[in-house]
Amino acid sequence: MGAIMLYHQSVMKNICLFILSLILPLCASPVAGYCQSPQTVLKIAIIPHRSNLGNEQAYSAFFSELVKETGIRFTWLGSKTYDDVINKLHTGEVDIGYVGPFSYVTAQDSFGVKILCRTISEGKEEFYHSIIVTRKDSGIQRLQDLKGKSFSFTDPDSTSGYLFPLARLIASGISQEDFSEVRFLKRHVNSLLAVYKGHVDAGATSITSFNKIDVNMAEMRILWQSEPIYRGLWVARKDLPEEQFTKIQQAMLQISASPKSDEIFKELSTKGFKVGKDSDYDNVRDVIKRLRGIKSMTNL
Amino acid sequence: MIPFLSIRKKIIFSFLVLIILMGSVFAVTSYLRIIKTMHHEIEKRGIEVSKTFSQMVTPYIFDWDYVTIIDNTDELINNSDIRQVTILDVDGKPWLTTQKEQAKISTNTPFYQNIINNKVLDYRQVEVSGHKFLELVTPITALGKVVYLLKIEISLKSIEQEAASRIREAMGIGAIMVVVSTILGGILAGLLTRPLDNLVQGTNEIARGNLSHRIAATSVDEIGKLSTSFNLMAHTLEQELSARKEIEKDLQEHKAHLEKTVWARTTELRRTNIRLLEEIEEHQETENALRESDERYKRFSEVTIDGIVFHNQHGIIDVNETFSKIFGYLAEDLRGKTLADTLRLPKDTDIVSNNFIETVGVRKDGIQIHIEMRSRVLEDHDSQLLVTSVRNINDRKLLETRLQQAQKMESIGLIAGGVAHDLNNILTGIVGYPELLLVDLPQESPLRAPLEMIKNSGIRASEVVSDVLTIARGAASVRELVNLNHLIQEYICSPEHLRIAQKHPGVTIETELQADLWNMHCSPIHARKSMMNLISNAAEAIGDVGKIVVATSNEHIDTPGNGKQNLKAGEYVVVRVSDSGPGISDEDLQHIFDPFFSRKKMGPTSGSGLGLTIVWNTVQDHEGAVFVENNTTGTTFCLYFPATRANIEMQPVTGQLKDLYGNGERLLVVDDDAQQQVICSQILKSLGYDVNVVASGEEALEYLKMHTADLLILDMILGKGMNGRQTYARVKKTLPDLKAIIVSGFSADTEVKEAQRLGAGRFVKKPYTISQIGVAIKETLAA
Repeated sequence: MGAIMLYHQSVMKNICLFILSLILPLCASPVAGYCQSPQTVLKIAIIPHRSNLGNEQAYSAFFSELVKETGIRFTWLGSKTYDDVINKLHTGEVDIGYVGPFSYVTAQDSFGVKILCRTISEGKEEFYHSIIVTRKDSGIQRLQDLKGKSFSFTDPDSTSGYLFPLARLIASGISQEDFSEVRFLKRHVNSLLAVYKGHVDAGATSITSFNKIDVNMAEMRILWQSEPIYRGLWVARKDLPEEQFTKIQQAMLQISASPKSDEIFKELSTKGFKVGKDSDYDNVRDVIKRLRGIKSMTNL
Repeated sequence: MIPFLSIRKKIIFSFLVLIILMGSVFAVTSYLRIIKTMHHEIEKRGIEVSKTFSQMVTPYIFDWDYVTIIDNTDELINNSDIRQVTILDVDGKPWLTTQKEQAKISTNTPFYQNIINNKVLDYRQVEVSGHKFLELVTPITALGKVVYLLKIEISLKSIEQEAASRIREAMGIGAIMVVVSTILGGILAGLLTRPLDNLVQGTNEIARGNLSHRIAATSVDEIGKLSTSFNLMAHTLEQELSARKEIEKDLQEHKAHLEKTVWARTTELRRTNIRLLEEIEEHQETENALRESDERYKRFSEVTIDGIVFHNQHGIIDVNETFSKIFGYLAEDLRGKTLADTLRLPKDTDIVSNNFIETVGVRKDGIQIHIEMRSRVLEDHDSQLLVTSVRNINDRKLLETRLQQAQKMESIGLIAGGVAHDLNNILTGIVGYPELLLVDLPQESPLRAPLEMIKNSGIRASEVVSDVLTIARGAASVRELVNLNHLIQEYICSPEHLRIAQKHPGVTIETELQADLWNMHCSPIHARKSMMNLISNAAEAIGDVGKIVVATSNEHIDTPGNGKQNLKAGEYVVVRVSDSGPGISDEDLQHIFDPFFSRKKMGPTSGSGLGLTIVWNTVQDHEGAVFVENNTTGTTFCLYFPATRANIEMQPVTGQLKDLYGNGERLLVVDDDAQQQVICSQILKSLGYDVNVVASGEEALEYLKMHTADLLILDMILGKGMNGRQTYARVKKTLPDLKAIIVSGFSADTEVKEAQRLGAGRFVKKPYTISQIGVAIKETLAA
C-alpha cells in the first residue's frame, strides 16, 4: 500500500507531471492512485493556502505518517477555492477536509460536518488574526483613508481574508463599492504580496501569511488586526464511518504528540492538533450574523 | 657520442611535435564542437521550457496568484540549470522575480522591442559577473497585445564545465601518447645511429691524415651505400695528395723569381711620383695668385659709382654694372659697338681724352642726360685697349639751374621789400578819396569816369606793391591750415574774380575739385594770389573764347622721377590750372617765372608782371613745386603743395555792401596818419556809423574816460607812443567788454596776434576796400 506520491527526479519529468497535476483541478476529477489491492481510499481536500503543488509538497510528510498510523490509503485532491472544498464535503466527493473557520461554520450550519481536530501553530498557538495591511509609503494611516483605493481580499469564504475584515470596514463606513478596485486573490499570501508589491493599495489577509513568504515587515503597516480566532480545523463528512473517523482522529493527535512532529510538520504552519468543539467558532457566527444584518439593512 | 644523441633527439622531437600538433587540433575542434552542440541543446531545451512554462503561468499571472507561480518557479529552478525566472511588464518593471534585487530593466533595446513587437520568443547569451547565461524571453499576451514578459536565465556553467572536463580527458590521453612516442622514438633512433657512428670515426681518421683508413660496409641500405662511397673517396684523395705535392714545388721556384722583378720596378715608380708632385704644387700657387687678382678687379668694378667701359678700336669689350644701370644697356648687347655710337655722343667728342669732358649722352630709352667722361689707355699690345669712366651729372645740372633761379628771386625780394612798404600808405589816398567822392557823385557826372580811373590805378598800383611785398616777405611768416577747395571756391565768388570774368566774357571757368582733398599748411593770401594770378593769366592767354579748368587732387609721391626730381616723397595737394589757349613757346618757357618778364615781352597788359613770380615764390616757400605742361592746345600749371591730414573748421563767407550798413554805432578810430584818419572816418560815416578819431593810444585812453564807444578801430603802428596792442591792453583793463578790430599795412605779426589773443577781433590789412572794413566791423559788433 504505497502512498500515491509524486517523486521528482529530473526537470522534464517534473514539468510533465506538474502540468498533469494542474489539469486535474480544472477537470475536477480525482487522480487514480497506484493501487495494489481494492481497499477503501479516503479522499482529502485542503483549502488552497498554497498552490496545489505547494500543498502537496508541504503535506507529504504528514500524509505518509498518517498512512502509517491509520493503515488507510488516502488520495489528495487539490482545490482552487474554499467553496470547492465545502461542496465536495457536502457531496461526499471528499471524506476529509482542512477548512478555515468561516468555511466550517458555513458547512456545519448548512449540511453538518464532524470536527476531527483543530490545528495549532508554532508555540502551541491556537489562535490567529485577520489583518488589513498597507505599505508604509502608501500614505494610508487609517481605515477611513481606504476610500477610493484598490483593495484585495482572498476568498469570499475566507474568515480572515474576507469575513472579519469586511465587517470591520463596513463598521468604519467603508463598503466594498467605496473601493476603486476589488480583487479576490484566493490565497492569503497573494493578498499580502499584492499589497507588498504595490499592486493594490491595501488588502486583507491572515497574520499567518507572513510566515509563509519572505516579506520585509518594516515596509508594511498593519491598519487593523482582528480579535483572536481559532485556527483552521480538520473535519470529516457527516456520514464517515465512526471507526474510520476515530482512527484518523487518534492518529492525528498521536502524530501531533510524537517526537517526530517537528520533522513531520516542518513544511507546514500547522505544528500540531488539538481537540475542538463547535462552540469554539461562535465568534465567527456572530460576525456572519452582523454582516448579514448590515447587508439586509442596506439592501446589498 | 654527440652526433649519436642529436639524431636520436631529432627523431624523438619530430615524433613529439607531430603528436602534440595532432593532439591539439583534435582537442580544440573537439571542444568547440562539444560547446556548440551543448549550447544548441540548452537552447532547444530552454525554448521548450520557456514556451511550456509561459503557457502554464499565464492564467496565474492574470489572477495575481503569486503563490502558485512562486512554487512552480522554485520547482523549475530546483535541480536544473535554470538560475533566475522573472516576470516583467512591457516597461521592464519586475512583476515577480526570483532575483533578490528588483531592478527595472530597459526594454527599449532592439532585443526586447523585437519580442514585444513581433510577439515571438527570443534568446541571447549574456554574461553576468563572469558567468555565462542563456537568457530566454517569452511574451505573454492578452487580447493580442503583449502585457508581460517571462524571462528565464539558464546557466551555461555546467556545459562549459562538461566541455572542460572532456578536454582534460583528451589532454590526459595526449600526455600518455607523448610518453609512449618518446620511448618508441628512442628505440628507433638507436637502430639508426650506430652505423652513423662508424662513419664519423672514419672521417676523423681521414682528417688526421690517415688516408688508408677504410670502413666496413655491413648493410646494403643507404648507410651501406654511404660507407662504400666513403671508401672510394678516401682512395681518390690519396692519389690527389701525391700529385699536388709535385705542383707545389714548381710554384715555389716561380715565386722567388717574381719577387725580384717586382722590387726593381717599384723603386723606379716611386722616383717618378715625387717629381710629379713638385710640379703640381708650382701650378697651384700660380692659379691662386691669378684668382686673387681677378677677384680684386671684379669687386672694384662693382663698387664704383661711375660707369666703367673697356673698349678698343673695334668696339666695347665690357661694361660694369653701374654703366648698365645708368644707360640701361647690358654688357652682352654692347660687345662690338663703339662707345660714341652707343651713347649717341656729339660728332666731335674726344672719347680718348685724358681730361674730363662734359657732354650729353642718350640712354637706351632715348632720354638725354648730362654726363662727364674721362679715359685712359690700358695696354700697348696690337689692339689698343682703353678704359673710360662715365658719370651721370644730370642731378647736378638741375640743381645748378634751380639755385640760379632762387638767387635771382632773393635779390629781387630784398630790393623790392624796402620800396614797397612805404608805397602802401601813400596809395591809401589814391584809392580811398576817389571811392568817397564816387559815393556822393551823381551817376551822369562827367567826373565819374576819371575818378574810377584814378581809383583803379590806385588799386592796381597797390596790387603791384602787394605782390612785390609778398615776394619780399615770403610766405614763411604766415601758416594757416587751409583747404585749397575752399580757397578756390571763395576766390571764384570774390569781386576780384568777377572783374576778371567780366573782362573776358568768352572764357568759361570750370572746377574739378577732389571731394576729400587733403588740407595744407600755407599762407592763404599767397595761395589765393597764386590762384588769381594763374587764372588771370589763363584768361588772358585764351583771349576771346575758351575754357579754363581748375582741378584739385590728392597725390602720393613715392619715388621722385619724370621731372619731379625735386619733390621729396610724401603726400601732396595738387592744383592744376589749364587753359585752352595757344600755349607758351619753348624759349619763353624758360623765363616765365622771371619778374616782369611779361612786361618786357608783351608790352602793356593788365597785371603787375609779377604774377608767376609770386606763384613760383609761394610754391618754393611751401616746399612744393610748380610744373608746366605745355603744347599748342593749351597750357597747364601744376602746383604741388605738401599736404597735411589735419582738419580745419569752416570759415564764414563775405557779404554784400548793403548788409554792411551800421546803425549809428559809435566807433573810435586810432591812427597817427592824418590822411588815414580822414579817409577812414569818411568811409565809416558813409557806412552809417558815428565816427570819432584820435591820433595816439594815449589820446584814445583819455577819450574813453569821458566818452563811450561800441568799437575800437586800432592801427598797429601809432608813432612814438604805445602801439596798437599796448593801447588795447590798457583799454582792456578799464573796459574789458570793449570790442576792437585791428588795421595795419603789415601782415598779421606777433603784435597783432598778441592783441587778438587779448580779445581784439578781426584783422584788416591796409589798403582795404569798403566792404572789407564793413564786414570786419559788422562781424565784430555782432559777435
